[in-house]
Amino acid sequence: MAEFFSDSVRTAITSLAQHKLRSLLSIVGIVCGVSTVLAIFAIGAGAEAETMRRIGQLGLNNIYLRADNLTEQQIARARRYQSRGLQIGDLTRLQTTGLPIRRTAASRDQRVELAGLPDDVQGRVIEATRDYRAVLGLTMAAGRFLADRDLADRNRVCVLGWSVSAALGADGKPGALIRIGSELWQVVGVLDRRDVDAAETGRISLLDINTMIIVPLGTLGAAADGEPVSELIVELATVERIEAATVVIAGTVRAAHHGVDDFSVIVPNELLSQAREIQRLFTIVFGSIGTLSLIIGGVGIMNIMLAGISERVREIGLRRAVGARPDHIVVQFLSEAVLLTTLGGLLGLAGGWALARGVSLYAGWPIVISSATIVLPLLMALATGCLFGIYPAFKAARMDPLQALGYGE
Amino acid sequence: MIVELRGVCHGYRRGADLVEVLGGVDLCLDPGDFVAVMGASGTGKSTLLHILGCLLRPAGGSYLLDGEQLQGRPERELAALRSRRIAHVFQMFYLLPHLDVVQNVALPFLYQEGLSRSEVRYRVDDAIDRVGLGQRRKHRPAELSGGELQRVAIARALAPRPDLILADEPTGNLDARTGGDILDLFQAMNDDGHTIVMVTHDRHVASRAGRLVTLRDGTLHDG
Repeated sequence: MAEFFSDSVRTAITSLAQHKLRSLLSIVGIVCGVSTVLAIFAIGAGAEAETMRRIGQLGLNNIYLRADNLTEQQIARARRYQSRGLQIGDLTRLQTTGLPIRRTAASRDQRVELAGLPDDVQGRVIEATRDYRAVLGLTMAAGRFLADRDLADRNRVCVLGWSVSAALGADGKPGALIRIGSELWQVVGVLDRRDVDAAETGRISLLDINTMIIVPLGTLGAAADGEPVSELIVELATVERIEAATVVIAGTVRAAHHGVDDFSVIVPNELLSQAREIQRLFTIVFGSIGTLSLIIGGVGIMNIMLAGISERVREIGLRRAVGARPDHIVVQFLSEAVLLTTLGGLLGLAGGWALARGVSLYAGWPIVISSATIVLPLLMALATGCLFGIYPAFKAARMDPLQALGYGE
Repeated sequence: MIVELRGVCHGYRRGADLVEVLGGVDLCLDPGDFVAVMGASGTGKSTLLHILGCLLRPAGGSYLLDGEQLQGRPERELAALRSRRIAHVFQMFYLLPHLDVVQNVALPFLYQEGLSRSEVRYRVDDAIDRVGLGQRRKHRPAELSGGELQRVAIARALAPRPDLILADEPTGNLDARTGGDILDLFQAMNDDGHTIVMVTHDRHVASRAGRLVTLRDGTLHDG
């Protein structure tokens, strides 16, 4: 049996080697198909991972309410209906809705300067509540985050992002005093470094946590419940029925604002679904192109095999005469198809890798090449080879041995 | 008795007509027989040989090989017989050009199971030595003469140690001297106990066989 298989492979190699150019041309389609499929998988997986990373950082259980920049018309309407914009009090109202709210947080952007930062580090001061860290899943590199007493007593303490702390050197460590605006503030903690770029993800511009200086809400400007806040974040205990919860939250806050639409609702989970849908379409379109190439490749394989069979009729007849069964002939010719597609598949993997790398370098998209992105296109190529090799192989096996040997011609 | 044909008949369709070629052939062969089958062109000599070689199923009659009825046997059993017990030597040699002498002779063993690699190697080498091509083992068909090609084909037939060797005009493509050498080889094989059926239209060639039968009007006649 082993001899039979090694003979089948040897015969296949010999037959293909005798017609190198023809064999190479016949696998062009397979090479293109596998290249495209691998590149699609690699780019798709890269985009998925990147989207997950970006959106995941916003918290998939979270619902963001962000204060809008209002038009004059909206400002007039807000005045008329006495809406004071997003308020920390909106969070208190949401607690009465019965929604499974785990935590809430509020933040307010402040346009004040932090003294002592080098030019290349853009520090951004925001006021925040205690649970801001937990809601965003931030971790501490040193010290602590803001506590209830900091907010209650309006303590002049701050938590620094990693790059700000690094830029300030010894002055950026817990216990040090830094100047924000005209006052001195004590550093109580430093956040862990978080890999994120400030690129757009859907409608959200991700905050660069590393450049933040976080102070207790109500310490820089008006009291916590005075001026409007920039952002309210509601973390639900469960991601289930997040759409329904979003409707309730938006409705409750809008009612409190007397129907004034002065905020936007952002649901990272929905953004993820949208991103996935776009990627699904991308995969379907380019996957179809890859599949079409594979089909064309399969036709190429079938073509060369049919040509090979008509050239090797006597060989088929002889093999049958010395004891080959029809299934032996099927295996012999299928080996040829499998060998061709394997060769095409391997070349396609190399091409796909180069294509994915090229796209990644040119467009700056991340790519992920895993065992699945390699094995799957190769399996698709092999399946194509088998599928399109079956007809010629059975055609060879069905030949009458005597006619194949030239008797009765 | 190794072969027993009883009332074997066969025909071919030519257009709308059915042309009967064999009309009730009886043939009995004992182990060690060397039979030459003669007959005019188109009398069905090759058809008879193909039926004996299990490459063609007769339309009627019975075929017993070593007492076993072959009529109605499935193709896989007939294929097994062709690889182990019945061997063919063709006028056109039919060697595979990309294989060397050893690989060509070993071809029937690809479709046999149960023999060890060393046993196959021994049988192949033995058959090549017996046809006098010991020095040509690694040569490809393109590097061999016509007589040598037929010797390789005979070695391929001998190697599986079949019960029956069927030769279809084995000297038809060779010059007289080379043909004579090949006939000597058949003679030697027969002396070793092989049962041989050889189809020829050449009376001189047929005279080398121990027994001569002639196909005439669809039936076999002695002499």
